[in-house]
Amino acid sequence: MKQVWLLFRHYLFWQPIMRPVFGLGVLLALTGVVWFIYSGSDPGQKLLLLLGSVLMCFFPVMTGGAGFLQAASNPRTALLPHFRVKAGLALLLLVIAASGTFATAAAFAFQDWQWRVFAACFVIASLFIQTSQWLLSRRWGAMVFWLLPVTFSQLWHLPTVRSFWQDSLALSVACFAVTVGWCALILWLQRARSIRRFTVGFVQQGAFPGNNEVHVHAKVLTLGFSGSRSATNTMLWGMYYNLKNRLGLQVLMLAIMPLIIGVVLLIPALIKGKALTEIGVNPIVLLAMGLYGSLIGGFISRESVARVRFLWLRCPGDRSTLWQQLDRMLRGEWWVSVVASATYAGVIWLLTDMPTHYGIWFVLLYGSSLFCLQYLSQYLRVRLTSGVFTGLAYCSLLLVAGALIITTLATEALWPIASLCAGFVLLGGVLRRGSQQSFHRVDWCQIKPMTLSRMSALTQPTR
Amino acid sequence: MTEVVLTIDGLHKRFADKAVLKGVTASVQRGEVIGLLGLNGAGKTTLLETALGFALADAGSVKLFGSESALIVDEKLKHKVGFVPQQDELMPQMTGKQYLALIAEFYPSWNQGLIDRLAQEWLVPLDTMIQKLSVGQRQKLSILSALGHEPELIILDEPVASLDPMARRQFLKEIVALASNGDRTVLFSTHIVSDLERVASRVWIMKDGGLLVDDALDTLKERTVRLRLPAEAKLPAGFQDAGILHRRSEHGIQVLTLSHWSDYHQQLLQQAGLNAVVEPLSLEDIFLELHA
Repeated sequence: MKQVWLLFRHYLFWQPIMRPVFGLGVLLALTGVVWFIYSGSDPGQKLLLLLGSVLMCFFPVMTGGAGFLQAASNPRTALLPHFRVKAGLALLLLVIAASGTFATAAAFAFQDWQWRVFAACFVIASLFIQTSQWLLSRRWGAMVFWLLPVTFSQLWHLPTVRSFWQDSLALSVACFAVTVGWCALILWLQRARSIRRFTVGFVQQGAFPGNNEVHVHAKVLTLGFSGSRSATNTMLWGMYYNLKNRLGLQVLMLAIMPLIIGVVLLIPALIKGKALTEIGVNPIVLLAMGLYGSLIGGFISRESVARVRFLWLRCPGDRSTLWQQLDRMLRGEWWVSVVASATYAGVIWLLTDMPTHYGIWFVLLYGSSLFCLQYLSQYLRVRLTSGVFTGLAYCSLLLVAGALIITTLATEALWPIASLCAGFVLLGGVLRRGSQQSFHRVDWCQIKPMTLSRMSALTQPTR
Repeated sequence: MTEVVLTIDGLHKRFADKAVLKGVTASVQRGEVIGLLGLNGAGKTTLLETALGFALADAGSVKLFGSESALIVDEKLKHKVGFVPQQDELMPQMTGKQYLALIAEFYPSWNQGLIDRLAQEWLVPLDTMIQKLSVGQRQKLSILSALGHEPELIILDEPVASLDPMARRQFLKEIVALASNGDRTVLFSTHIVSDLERVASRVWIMKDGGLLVDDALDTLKERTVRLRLPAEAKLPAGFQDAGILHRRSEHGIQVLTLSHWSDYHQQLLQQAGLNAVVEPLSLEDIFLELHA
């Protein structure tokens, strides 16, 4: 049991940032409880309790599966007797503890819905952990993190799910069945597949859809590059660089989620001739899903600034020249992304009865957020900021963006979204300037592309 | 006069609170093959990468072919350098052939014939995706990508760490061939001391962020010896400058390791009538003695 407890703690504090976040969560939750004891029920107390429990549970739930994979794929620990069983048990305990903690806090806050909240929390936490521990080491695995919230949001529109939600017992039974079924499926699949070597991080090399494009274009590549500029951009981008490839990636980034959901949920209905809105698809959700693409744009930028290392001894010019080359490539990427986002919005406009101005605002928001995220990730990278901190910065920006978008939709006033776009552009501009200045002192002894460490681990898998 | 291709002057480099390089000063002349030794974390990689301008020095300077390395702008100058990093920097989704084609785009003077020959000799499967290659095969590919443009200065950071004995021997043969005409310069770090003894003309040994040894290999081996003396024997006057690294007792015999042994010290022993045994040391023994 001691080993299980140690593993449980390993998952709980898998990354250094998780310990202070967990501590902060405990502090807030305790403050909420003490407040309740002395002053009775109060909205502020409930908010503190909920916020505290979110901080306590969010990171362990998100990273528990990855922690399991890393521990189980370590050659040293993998050889310990019954290690995978114990590691799995610790993970299961984490699911129960995290969902139990959050559900208790939530049920306390929403007293009429206790059963429903508990069941929902349990199934969500289980799905996240079970799915991520299995899929994170696989190509496309990162998509689960996009797919689950979107699927839940879409499921909400289905009348059957709504009726379940009204009936606590039916909901609980359904959630329990989903969780057990999903866990059993994962365990059965894991039985057949051994775990490959897994290193720290959420996204494996090749997890992004566009990376597959290189396989498709391998034949083209053998014919030779059209010039050193193409070679330079290929080095910076990490895959063969041409317009067709870039457009393919952008379309995939924007539309992959709707495509998958369409296949899973919507095609049967569409075959019957129903419109998207008739079967519960909200165009705003589709647009929101497209915004995930700007996150990938930020990731490409973050990696590209490290990949400049590959060019240092190969391309003429000093660091300023290399910065210009990098910036030129990113600007090109930005334009392609904006064109792709406009096309995407146009397609949604055609398929749904979405108001036209939503599409325009989507393109503006997509373009400005991509601009900001590109230079945010670049700035944080050249300043040697850790990936965890970068993630937190992303989350903060997304929270603000989400709040302003919701305000816009709720109030029908356009100023929040307009100010958000302006804020993104302004912040992006400042960060671009900062990145440019820091780039002159960038230390490529410390900044190396993420794929290098991954590949060295993956070339000798523990099969 | 021999051209100096790399000059390192008082190089300091820190990572956060840790000083990794503490005033390294050295120079490399055209045609030399220099082997760089050091314990893990001694600063070998930092020295090589800072010398090439990947990082800016905190103090001191590095000049590559007379130009400040951190600011090198000239394309021709950059093309004079070939670098094999410790961790290969390949593109995993490409085949070896595609990757080499990509690298060749950067160099107008790419020698495809040389690469084809070496790939055949070193058994590098160029049609396989890089992500499916073994670590050793990736290392070979990384070396090929650094040799194709026939650089004047080749810097290799632990190039043979993952190679099998045959590949290591072939690699060393190639290094010797490259350096034999006196036009190419090679600077490589390694932990395999026997390889270094086989090809290097000069040795750098790093310790605690400094360059402890910078000598011709033959000179280093001539000067560093182990001396065995009877337990009661006293060293004659004049031995102070022999550089006593260690003194210990073994089965009733005094064992001394000297770093500056010379004929003069031999004469002193003879004059004192001491029955001493002088043992030459292998480079590996020298390295171990210096770090004991």
